Amino acid sequence: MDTQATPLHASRTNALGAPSSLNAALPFLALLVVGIAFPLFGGGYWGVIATRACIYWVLASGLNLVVGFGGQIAIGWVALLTLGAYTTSVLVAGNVGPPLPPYLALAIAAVVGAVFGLIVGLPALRLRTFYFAITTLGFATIVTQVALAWQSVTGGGVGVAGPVFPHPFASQWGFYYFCFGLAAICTWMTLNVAASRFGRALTAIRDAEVAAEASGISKPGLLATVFLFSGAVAAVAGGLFASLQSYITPDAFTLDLSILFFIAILIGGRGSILGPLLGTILLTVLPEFAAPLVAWSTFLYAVLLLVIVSRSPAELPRSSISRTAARSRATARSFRGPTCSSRCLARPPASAP
Amino acid sequence: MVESIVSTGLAIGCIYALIAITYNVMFSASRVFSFTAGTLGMLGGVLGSLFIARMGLPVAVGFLLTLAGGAAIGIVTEIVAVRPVLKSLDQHLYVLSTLALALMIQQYTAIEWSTEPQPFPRLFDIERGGFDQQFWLPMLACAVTIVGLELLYRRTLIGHAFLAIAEDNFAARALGLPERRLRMASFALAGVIGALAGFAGGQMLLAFFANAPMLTFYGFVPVALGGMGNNRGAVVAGLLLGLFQQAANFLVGGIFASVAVFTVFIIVLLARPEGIAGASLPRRV
Amino acid sequence: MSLSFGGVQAIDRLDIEIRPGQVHGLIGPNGSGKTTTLNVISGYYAPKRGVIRLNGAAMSGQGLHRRAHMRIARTFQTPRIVGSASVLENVMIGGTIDGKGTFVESLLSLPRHRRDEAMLRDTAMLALAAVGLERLALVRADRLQHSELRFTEIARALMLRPAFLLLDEPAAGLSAEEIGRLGTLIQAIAQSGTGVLVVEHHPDLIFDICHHVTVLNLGKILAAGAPAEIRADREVVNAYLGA
Repeated sequence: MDTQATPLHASRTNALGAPSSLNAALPFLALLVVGIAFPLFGGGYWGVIATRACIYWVLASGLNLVVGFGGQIAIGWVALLTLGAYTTSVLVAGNVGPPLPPYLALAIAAVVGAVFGLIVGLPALRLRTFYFAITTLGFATIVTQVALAWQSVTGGGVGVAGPVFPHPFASQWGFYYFCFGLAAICTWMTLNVAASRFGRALTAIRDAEVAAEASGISKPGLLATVFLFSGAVAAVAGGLFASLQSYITPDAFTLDLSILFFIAILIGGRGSILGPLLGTILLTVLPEFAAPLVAWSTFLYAVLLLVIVSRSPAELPRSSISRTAARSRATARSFRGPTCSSRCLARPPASAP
Repeated sequence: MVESIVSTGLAIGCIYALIAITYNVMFSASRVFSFTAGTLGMLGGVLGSLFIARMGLPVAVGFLLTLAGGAAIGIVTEIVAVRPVLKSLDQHLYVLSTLALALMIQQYTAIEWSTEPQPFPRLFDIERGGFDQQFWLPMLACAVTIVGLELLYRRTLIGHAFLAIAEDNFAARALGLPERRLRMASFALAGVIGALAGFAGGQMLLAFFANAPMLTFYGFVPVALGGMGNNRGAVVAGLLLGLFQQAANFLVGGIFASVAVFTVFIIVLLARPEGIAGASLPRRV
Repeated sequence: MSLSFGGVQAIDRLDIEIRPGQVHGLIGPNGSGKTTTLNVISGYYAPKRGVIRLNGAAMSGQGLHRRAHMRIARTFQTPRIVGSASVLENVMIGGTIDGKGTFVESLLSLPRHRRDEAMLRDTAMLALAAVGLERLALVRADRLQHSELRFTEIARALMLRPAFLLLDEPAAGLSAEEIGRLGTLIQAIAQSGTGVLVVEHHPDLIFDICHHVTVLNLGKILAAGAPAEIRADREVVNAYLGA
């Protein structure tokens, strides 16, 4: 009795037939349409929320590759948001050298983000999971503290003004479309990676590391690549975030933000792009619907995380184990001669004639 | 100045060491690390302040209630965050579940207690001297804990049972040791130690919800450097950490001291992932 | 081309040679060192003494992931797959190193990425057809039965178009009919030029399909030679095959 060949929903590889790929594309197309048309029915306040959701997704899309696909528990990724935000703002404000145009500052921030993404991420190759998680948290704290202390550059506790992007992105809706465009590009790019040998190799490292190695996949090389990319987009998100906030101080970058990204990815499900995307939108929008809940938002996110994690699949169901055991016994019986027991090992081989 | 650095450094080092021991006790019972260790330290301070300063209870009663609170949180950790994920296929979920629980407790404290550090009462009515109680209380707590744990593990039956479960889980179960109850008891013990750390250190750290992330990190450094499950290594590393931190504070100021600690931590860890005193694990087949 | 090695701790002075186009069986009771041997050849452990040679040139001791580049593929005792991915995707993982496009080209879905994907997809479907599982291509891997997972692993290994294939107890948990299919498959793989090493517990499959057999006991070679010789060897019969 063999497994029924029921097709997989929305096959990522689009291996066979056009209809499955259209099914897969529909949610994204729907979001695209809603996003483009948003200014028509959303007010000013909701425009800010929508912009924020786009910015968060830019970061989360990259982090999704690290956490959702690669399985690395990098909890302190908000550090890269902070780095990106401050790098962009400081360069535009001219606190270090002459004031730079915002796009150039953003590009430089992306490079800085890539480098630090690599620095923060590479210990994952040497350290146990918990150790790595703690070091990313420590890094996030350090970055915030440095921002606080380096007053000459970052303005310390007083903070620094965020960059303003030139026309046509200076207005609220202009900036919204800028962020939305970047979010759409990030979605497209990570979808491409998911359906590439890199995406599959990442999931192989996550779920079957030894088999991945045996297939020639190099864990350090692959993770390094993903950390570079993820760091870069997170820093870009930081620059956009600074612009949205108009003014940034170190306490805008709390641990809660890091947790938010993390939970968004986990709610959405590992190895998916659509799931974390919806998760990010949900978590950005949710506190707005229940004002008294805002203070409790982190608490609720934590409860959500705990529930998701506790409901993870447990060991293999009994049925498949006993089926396999029964087959093994049947196989053993069908061959003549016993499988070797301790009896064989105890008896030394007869000496050769 | 030097005496100040030494006394502060050793005192805070003892607090870190106690949190490290909390981590270790939880680890030896379950083979997982829990993010709630630092949170327990925070609660030691908050509960102590709550019972004694705010509710006016006598010091001894407040102390016992605080320890009981720590034990309760330890047990809750085991039931809610550790037990469900031990059975799971994915071995790393405990990181997230214990993080979630720790966050819940921290947030609750921040909202219900206060977002600002609250004063912690003086426990003994002695003049503020050079070697003040805020310094020797943590040291005393640390010494008592170490001696207590030694006695527990070596002399009592339950201590032997703890060791057995830690050494060889399957053999212990095969012998009929009640694994689940022992694990809960271990977590309760860890909770008591964590709360003790916070209570003894309350006068130095005050009753502040943000002590939790700070203790979570600094309490883990001695575990990482001293070797997982190695309490003696943890104490030595904790004291060294405390001294290093205070010295760096004095020399280069608070923020850069943190950066210094973090950098040293990362470098040591990358050079020897199992800690300076730990044994390197062979790669699993 | 040939593959030979000798001298490993916990495996005592083992000498094995695997030739292309031939099936070499390695049998022995539990704990005799069969899987350890395979782990050493595949680069999981380094031998304490002795050398692994490919075509006469010595190979470095460790480096599991470099073996794939030398076209040495293996399967595992318990199937290691990505449960949440489809069977086809799991098999495509086996051909990862044959992709030519860079990460950036994948990000931007440039032509070389798309060519890689088409190539991997087609090759994987061929591999699945070779093991008889093509109708399960789009099924989630964690819904498969144990035997189907074993064949999936073999398909994944075939993606490397391996010069040498190492199979770790492939027949465990299979029904008699499936073992028959497995035997035919292994012979077909060997006939296409691959050198196959089969580590097995059940002797009948080995005697059916192998050209050479080595019997291990307690880490030492007990006997080696053609299946007919081994079957008749009294030592082997006494120690291992039973009365």
